[in-house]
Amino acid sequence: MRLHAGQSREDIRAALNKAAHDTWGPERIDALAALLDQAADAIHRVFQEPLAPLAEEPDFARPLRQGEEG
Amino acid sequence: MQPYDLTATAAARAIRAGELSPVDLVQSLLDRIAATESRVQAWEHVDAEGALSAARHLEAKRRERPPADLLFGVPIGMKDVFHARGLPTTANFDPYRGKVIGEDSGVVQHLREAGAVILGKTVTVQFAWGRDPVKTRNPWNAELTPGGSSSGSGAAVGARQVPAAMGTQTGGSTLRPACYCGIVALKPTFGRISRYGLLPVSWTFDHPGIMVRSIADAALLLQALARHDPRDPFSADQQPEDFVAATREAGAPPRLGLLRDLLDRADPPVRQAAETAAERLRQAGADVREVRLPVPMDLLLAVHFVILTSEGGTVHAEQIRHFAEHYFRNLRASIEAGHVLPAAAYVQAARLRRRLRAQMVEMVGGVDGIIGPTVRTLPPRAETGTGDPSFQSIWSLFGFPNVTIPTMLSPERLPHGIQIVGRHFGERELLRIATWCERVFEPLPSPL
Repeated sequence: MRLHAGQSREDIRAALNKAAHDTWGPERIDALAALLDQAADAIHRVFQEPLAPLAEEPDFARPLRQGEEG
Repeated sequence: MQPYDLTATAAARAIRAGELSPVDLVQSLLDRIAATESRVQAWEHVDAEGALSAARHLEAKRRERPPADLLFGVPIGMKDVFHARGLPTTANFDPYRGKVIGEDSGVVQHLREAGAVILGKTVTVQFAWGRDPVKTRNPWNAELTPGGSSSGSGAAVGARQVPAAMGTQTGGSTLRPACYCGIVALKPTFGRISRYGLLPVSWTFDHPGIMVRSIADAALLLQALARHDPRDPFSADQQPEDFVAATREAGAPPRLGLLRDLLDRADPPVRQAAETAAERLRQAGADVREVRLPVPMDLLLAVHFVILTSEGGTVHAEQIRHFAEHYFRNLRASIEAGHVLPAAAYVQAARLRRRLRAQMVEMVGGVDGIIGPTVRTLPPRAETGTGDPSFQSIWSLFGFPNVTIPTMLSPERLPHGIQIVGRHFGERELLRIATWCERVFEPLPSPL
């Protein structure tokens, strides 16, 4: 699945459905429907927030040290 | 008053003074469990033999010299996701039943070193994740949930079956059951308490939590548990502090930020109770002013969901392929969904978490404590699940310490509570503020 800012919630939901179908089988799709809805909402929401390119955030991969506030 | 009515602080004091035998206290609690457990169903495994044996050993030790240990003779329940030597850790998962663990978790080790007696294992939502219903019932109303995932710990302390119990919180799993059951809970700063020997849900969110009947009790247990554990890579290495002393004098009235975002989202009876509680705090002298979150709450909850579901899905990825049929319905769906969330979403959420943390720290740091209703609704019916964790998840996301204290009963005789959020590693001040606030409200009666 390729994600990008501006991708519609419906596209995200469709991609999650396909991934779940391929991973767990068609018999699990109904059981996963509510969670995939929730996941699509959450993923869509977090991608609404603009972030600078990761190359401009070199410290991202470094764990926060104790007391550091990020 | 029966021995089972005693708080942890009162029990420890009575035992130290020679007024109460550790054996009599354990027996009183076992009798209480026998009388109430058919209604509450809080326990996965009561270790009567082990607890009495430990109590007899402590009794003999007390005869030799006066005990100095903080929790000498105090029985404690353990959520059944903490390992305890000689007992199974079942996590409400059938394939784990009967498999006895050979080593104590860090929490159990530290409690035993402080003189505590492990009474047994309390019921947990399966693997401490999700809202699948459990057998445990709310001691205030047996048709309602006690909350979760620390369901048994909340109900057992609420029903006075044990003076203290350990829970965990990844979203809202310590403070929510504590509020629903009318008791006090403390979720310390992330990393304060060892997670060695604790079954994981989500490695960047899991917090051991303390569930008790008073802020003084919360401080007592934190005093025993706030220790660096080199076996836990997330364990904080802080200077020792005197948390118990912080609860002896309430000090000056606090400056409190009443969080409007939680009031707006709460059900009307919960909102009304929280506003009444805030007004009582004002009348008692606290400076209570409204504050708002610096970022939308739906964004915080979305970030929490993506990280939790991804990490939790990873934890169970291998096991679920072999034992899928043993996972409860909602948990199984969460794990399977988590397993297909794209890595890009997890990285986006993790980056946002880091960026948003600074704004949340600034908000929390602007007052002595943030307050608001602990939960969004009163306890729902037991068959519907364990309730809504959103009011606690936004703090778990960043590892802030927070407490819940009961404030009043609803007309239906269900407990209301408020939560107080403090600064990272600011538990001393948080406990002082919570002591001050606790004194404003009448203690709740026993539900049974």
